[in-house]
Amino acid sequence: MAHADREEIIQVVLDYLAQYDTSGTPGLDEDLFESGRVNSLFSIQLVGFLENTFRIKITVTDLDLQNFATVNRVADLVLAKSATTTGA
Amino acid sequence: MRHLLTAEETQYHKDLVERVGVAWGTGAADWDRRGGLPADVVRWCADEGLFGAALPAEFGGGGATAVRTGLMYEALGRVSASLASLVNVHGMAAQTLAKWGTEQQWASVMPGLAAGKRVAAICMTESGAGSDLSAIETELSEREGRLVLNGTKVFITFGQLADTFLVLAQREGRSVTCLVDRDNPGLTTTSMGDVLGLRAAALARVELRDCVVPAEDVVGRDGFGLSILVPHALEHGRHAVAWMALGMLGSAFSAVLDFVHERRSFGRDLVDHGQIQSMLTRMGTDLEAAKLLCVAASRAVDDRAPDASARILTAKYFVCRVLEEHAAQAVQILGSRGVLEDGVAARHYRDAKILNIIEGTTQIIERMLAPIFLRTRSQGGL
Repeated sequence: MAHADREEIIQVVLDYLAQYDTSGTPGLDEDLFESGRVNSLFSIQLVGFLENTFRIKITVTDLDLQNFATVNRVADLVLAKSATTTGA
Repeated sequence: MRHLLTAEETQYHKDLVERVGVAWGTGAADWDRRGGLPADVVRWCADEGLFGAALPAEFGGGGATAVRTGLMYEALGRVSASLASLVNVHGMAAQTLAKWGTEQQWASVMPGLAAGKRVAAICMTESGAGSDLSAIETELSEREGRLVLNGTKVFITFGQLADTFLVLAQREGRSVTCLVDRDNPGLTTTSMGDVLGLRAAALARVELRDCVVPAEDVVGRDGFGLSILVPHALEHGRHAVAWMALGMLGSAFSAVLDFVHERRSFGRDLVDHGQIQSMLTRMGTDLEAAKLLCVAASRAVDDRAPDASARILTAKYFVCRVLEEHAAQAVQILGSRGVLEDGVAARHYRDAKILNIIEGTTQIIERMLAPIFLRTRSQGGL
């Protein structure tokens, strides 16, 4: 999924999140960590999942809570990284 | 294990088991007595490429698959859990740096770690913070324009000989990790004294007193030490511990089979006693299950499967648990021979207890796995 658009990314992330959190679909701006929906084990799994699914590489420069806290921010990160990866 | 591996994996494992066995097969008891590994053992691991085996080739590592990495730990664990732990703690620090380091750190630190010219250790535990690392007090703070590190880490595996330490600290309440060299004037290490197991793992208390840390030696970003870097390191560690426990279980079983093969009691071969048959059967079937779980976990890692973390947890939990049970049974079956301090059964018995504490205690893993099983069930996966 190297060229997914924003809606596709959000859906893929929500589907993935649903595997870890069966308490219902989160709001796109809901803080996943503060709300207790996911734990630290999930955070590294999420990194691996995003890297595999969208063929991007997440590095230390992406370690910013702004990038991971909500579904919308994850989508922003993936879009930004995809643009970098493809040279767009 | 041949039935679970490719021909190349089988050959790699066979060769490594032989090399480790020839070089150090009889060394473990002496290492335990000395409370550390001799320098030539560390050098041998470097010369064999074991320190860098699992690191990506772009960093000068061997780029080994998870299966091959696991087989390496199995081969080392057969001989000594302490020996396997030397490579493991180095790998935990190096793998974390490989993933979350900066280009500058990769250029300055990784070549030495990949070649095994420098040995790394990872400093997490404190006297008041074990399973709950959010309670750590070691502090990275700014003083007169410089970063200084203060705190005391305990039970640091190979802390007595490591050249480089990856230290978990907190800065203004946010978790962070940084690199500290052995020659930092503020760093001192002392032995933890006599311990139950992993006696040759040179466990150390690491005192950090006003250690000046260059800003470029901070690894990751503030706030991500506990949520990203530590879980990353621990995942590598759990994978390694599962496989080294498999090697220990295999060698304990071999020692038992050798004994049962030669021993008679009450006018019968030992194997003709029903209670021995029960013990052997439980040991043999658990060993087979342990192999299956370890290989499945490593294949999941190599396939980048979404359930890789859960499979690693499952393998670590199961193999360490059955190792503890069967190492105790091995001592029981071997009787007077089993209680000899230098024997393989006694050593595995001591070390097995430690493996159920490090890289996530049995209870911590239960906290993580139970919800995963529940979730899998609710999704129709069980």
